[in-house]
Amino acid sequence: MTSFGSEQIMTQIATAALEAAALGHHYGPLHVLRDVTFDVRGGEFVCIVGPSGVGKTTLLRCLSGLQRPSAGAVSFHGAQVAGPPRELALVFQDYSRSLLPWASVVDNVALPLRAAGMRKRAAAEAAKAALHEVGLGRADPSAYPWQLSGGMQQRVAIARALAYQPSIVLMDEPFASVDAQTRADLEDLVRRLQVDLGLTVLLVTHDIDEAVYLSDRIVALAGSPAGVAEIVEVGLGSARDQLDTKLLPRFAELRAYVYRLIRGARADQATGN
Amino acid sequence: MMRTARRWLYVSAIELWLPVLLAAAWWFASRDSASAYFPALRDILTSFRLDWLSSAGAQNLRPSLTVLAAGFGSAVVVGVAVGAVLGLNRGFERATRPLLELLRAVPGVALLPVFIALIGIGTDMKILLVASGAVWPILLNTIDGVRSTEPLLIDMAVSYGMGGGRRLRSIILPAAAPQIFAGARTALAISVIIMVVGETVGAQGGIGYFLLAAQRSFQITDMWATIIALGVLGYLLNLLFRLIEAVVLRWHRLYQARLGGPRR
Repeated sequence: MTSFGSEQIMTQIATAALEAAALGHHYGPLHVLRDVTFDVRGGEFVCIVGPSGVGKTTLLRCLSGLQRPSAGAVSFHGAQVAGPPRELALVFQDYSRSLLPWASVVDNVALPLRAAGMRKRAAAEAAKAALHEVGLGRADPSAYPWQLSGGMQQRVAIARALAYQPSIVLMDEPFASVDAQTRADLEDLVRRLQVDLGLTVLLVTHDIDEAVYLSDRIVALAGSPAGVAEIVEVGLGSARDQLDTKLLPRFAELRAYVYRLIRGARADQATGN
Repeated sequence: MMRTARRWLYVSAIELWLPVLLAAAWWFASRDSASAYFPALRDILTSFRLDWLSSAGAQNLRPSLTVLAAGFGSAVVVGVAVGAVLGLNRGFERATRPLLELLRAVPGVALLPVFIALIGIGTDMKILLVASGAVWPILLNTIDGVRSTEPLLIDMAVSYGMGGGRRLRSIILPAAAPQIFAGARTALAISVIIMVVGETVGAQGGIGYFLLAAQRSFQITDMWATIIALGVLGYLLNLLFRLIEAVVLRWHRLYQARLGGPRR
């Protein structure tokens, strides 16, 4: 598929915020990733999409500096990543396990700031501002996270990432554990935050619709070990709407295209090609 | 507020009816006792008041409480510190596990002759004796608690640039706290037992000393009064412990209730 020339992408083509070069990873004899190369430009929304179990989480762990890849390199604004960069924040799929059950909502959000040496009151203020930003301005900040609904808990996790003031946010299947309506709300929230705050977002998902709806570019993973099947320019503009965008012919075309990319690679593999 | 008060009354009634009944039975059964070994409860309680609810009683209590506080306190500090180190180093923990299990299997009071030989019969010896007996449940529970910290929380902490010390303080120890507290509660009961045994050997004061002295000089009512004092002390210590636990682990109680898990 050829480029669809989005003006947004053209203006922000300047520098790569995050770059994976010939990334490979294996756990013992099990090869998970092979020769994964792509970049994420500053201010861009990129989705990595691939079937479950393809190695998306491993890829994200390598990209975020939590795991050293077996081969290749990751660089963040040109510098090679050896550990988690300061300007990078990670949001996990399983909010119920990534939030501290013994700390209040506001303390959870303030934790990275406190750890970075911010004073208690200033950290709490920043945490409350972030909670407001994700639509939890009216929620009780002294509640425990597990007293909130699933969608609200994931909002808390997103607020924690925002309060940390990253330039790039990496998200690992962030909406996979919530119901459909909450999922749509959270998608729009992340989309809005990305535009409003000028964030760079790299989101991993197995859901092709979600990838097309959210992103400026899609990195389609397929195969085993997984490699980049193709990088697809989405070009749906920066304003998205759950109904209108999904009714566009271009949306249907893209989801079919990405679907074939991922499934086609699977079929090839089954026949041994 | 009304409901809390009523619930408190209800719980107290459930907890108290049997002890009250037994005490009453004892009181009336022993009322006209002529036995030297089983004096009337009324006389025992009089001795209890004179021996323990007095300035002399406070004088006798002080060395015991000192040994208990210092011994249990050091067991908590050492148990949590060593437990955290071992819990975080899987290989080291595996290598030392058989040794730990062996040491734990040695009854705390069996070390009494060893410590007497090494450091005499002073307060230090008793503190060491209590600490060396009470440290094991705390140590082993801390290892387990630290090891079962949710790995995703560690990933989260690392991704937000938290260093090792910060992770220990803000993530690992709070996560292990419920298990540490469970170990500490067992350790507290052990501490009281070892304290009493330690004081029966060459001590100049303390509850254990008083107990043995009363028995040896055939002050049987004083002996029974001391045993009651020990029971009351153990009960009050456990109450204090549960109070602290209820405050520190408030989240855990609510969390367990929310998950519908077992409640303690």
